[in-house]
Amino acid sequence: MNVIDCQKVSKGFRRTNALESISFQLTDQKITGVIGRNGAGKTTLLKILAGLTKHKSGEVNVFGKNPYNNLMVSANSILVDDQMTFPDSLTLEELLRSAPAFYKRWDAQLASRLFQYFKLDSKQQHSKLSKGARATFNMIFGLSTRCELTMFDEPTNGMDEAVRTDFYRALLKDYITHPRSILISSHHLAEIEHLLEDILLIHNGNVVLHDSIDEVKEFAVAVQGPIADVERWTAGEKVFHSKIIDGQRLYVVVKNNLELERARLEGAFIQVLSASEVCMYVTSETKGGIDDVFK
Amino acid sequence: MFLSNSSLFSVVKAQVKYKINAYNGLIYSLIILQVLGIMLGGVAGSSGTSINNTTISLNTSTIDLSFIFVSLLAISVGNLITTKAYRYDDFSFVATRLSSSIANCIVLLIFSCFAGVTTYFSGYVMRLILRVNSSYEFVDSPSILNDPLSFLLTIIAIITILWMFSSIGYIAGTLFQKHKLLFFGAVVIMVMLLIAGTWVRISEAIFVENGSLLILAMKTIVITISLFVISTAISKRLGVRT
Repeated sequence: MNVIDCQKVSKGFRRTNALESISFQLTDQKITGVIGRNGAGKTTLLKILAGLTKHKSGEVNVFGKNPYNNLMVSANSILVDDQMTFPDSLTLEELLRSAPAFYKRWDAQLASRLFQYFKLDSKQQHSKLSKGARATFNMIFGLSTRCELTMFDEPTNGMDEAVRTDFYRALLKDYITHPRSILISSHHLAEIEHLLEDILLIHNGNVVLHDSIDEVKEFAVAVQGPIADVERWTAGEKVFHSKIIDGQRLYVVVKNNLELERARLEGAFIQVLSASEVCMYVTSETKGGIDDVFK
Repeated sequence: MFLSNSSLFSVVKAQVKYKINAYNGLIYSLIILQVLGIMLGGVAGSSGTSINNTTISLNTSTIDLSFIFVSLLAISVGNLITTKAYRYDDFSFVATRLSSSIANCIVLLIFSCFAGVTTYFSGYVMRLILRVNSSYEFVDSPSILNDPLSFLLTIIAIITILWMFSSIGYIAGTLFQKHKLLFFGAVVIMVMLLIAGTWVRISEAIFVENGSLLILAMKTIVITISLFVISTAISKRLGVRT
């Protein structure tokens, strides 16, 4: 059974269209990265999946149900983001103690171990925490719920380097012992690449790519060589990015295809890209780079 | 995939427990207002007359002022828990807009019970203080022991009226959260009704022409529940963390 099934989902705010037409399916027990530029629609999509906001058109199904105002979906999913709030009248310890009444599979042991490891103050209030500590607490909360669909929206915002590394490690360890569907949105793909099995790349409110991380890596390659040659090799191809190096050589990023094998024989320098580079170039809207601004 | 199933009842129960824990700081506001009510209400009305060389002054002490203060608190608490901060808190845990509204309604009822009972008994605290602190001669109004049934009815009436006030605050807050214009529109309609005098007639029909306090309490409960139902319907489409 699909955990998530979206068909042509759209959502608009007053002036902008946050989601144009999102369609994808997510199968059980995978860590998927929701990747995209600023304002691509990642947060809006996750909020719709968590039932926090209502989509405008299309069909959204989480565990086979429309998540908006659905108790079963709410009981089995959680969205951790930096807008999570908790009442100030309760301390962090009391918050963790109230959770099992709501989440049937709450792991109190994991919560208290992580809580101690990250040295959070149990008598502190949620809103008084520093940005990093709040993100850490939210992360602990999200992991401990053991929800079948756990979503993190930019979870590491505000965390320092050491905590980020620990967080990714904790996430992976917990996932291995308790496999479930995890969605992580981030614009730092390089940082989470090692965790992910699948990538859902969103751009301008549309799904551009939804594939395993290996296939995303192979989606595009960089071709380098003399300008005229490169233009010949890549004629008719969709060019995601191009830049001239040293005034003589051309560097282009194109969709991977078999024809490039011929170019390689003719002396083209073909470079494999990392998943994060592929995502960056595929979603770039300008042909040139930031250098062109300063010309 | 293992999905846990939560019934609406169990989620509402968990929410009510959680909210009562989280909002129990409100008790301090309640106590302060009641103390203020006792202090200011100790001499609610006084009249005097003098015949020959004898002066008679008559002081009336009531808990009306406490009741008015607590009613205002009820309105503001009803309004407060519809604000974003409180609404979003619910959604950090398992919640739907329906479960959230039902839980709010129940929590406000529980707080009204607490406020109603304590406000009623603050009258007895006032009697005690007055007896100790003044040199006047006392003429008591009937107390619990004289007429337990009417005492019970009075408390029920106080509770339902406080609950109704909280629901008025709640619907006003919900309208405001939905759209500011809706709220101001409602205010304008209220004021127009007030000017036209319709309001007075409606209130008379509801609150004045009652055979007994029980009928008043029933009417109040019906109004309150209707207000909560309307608020729930309005809040069905309110976004969270937007």
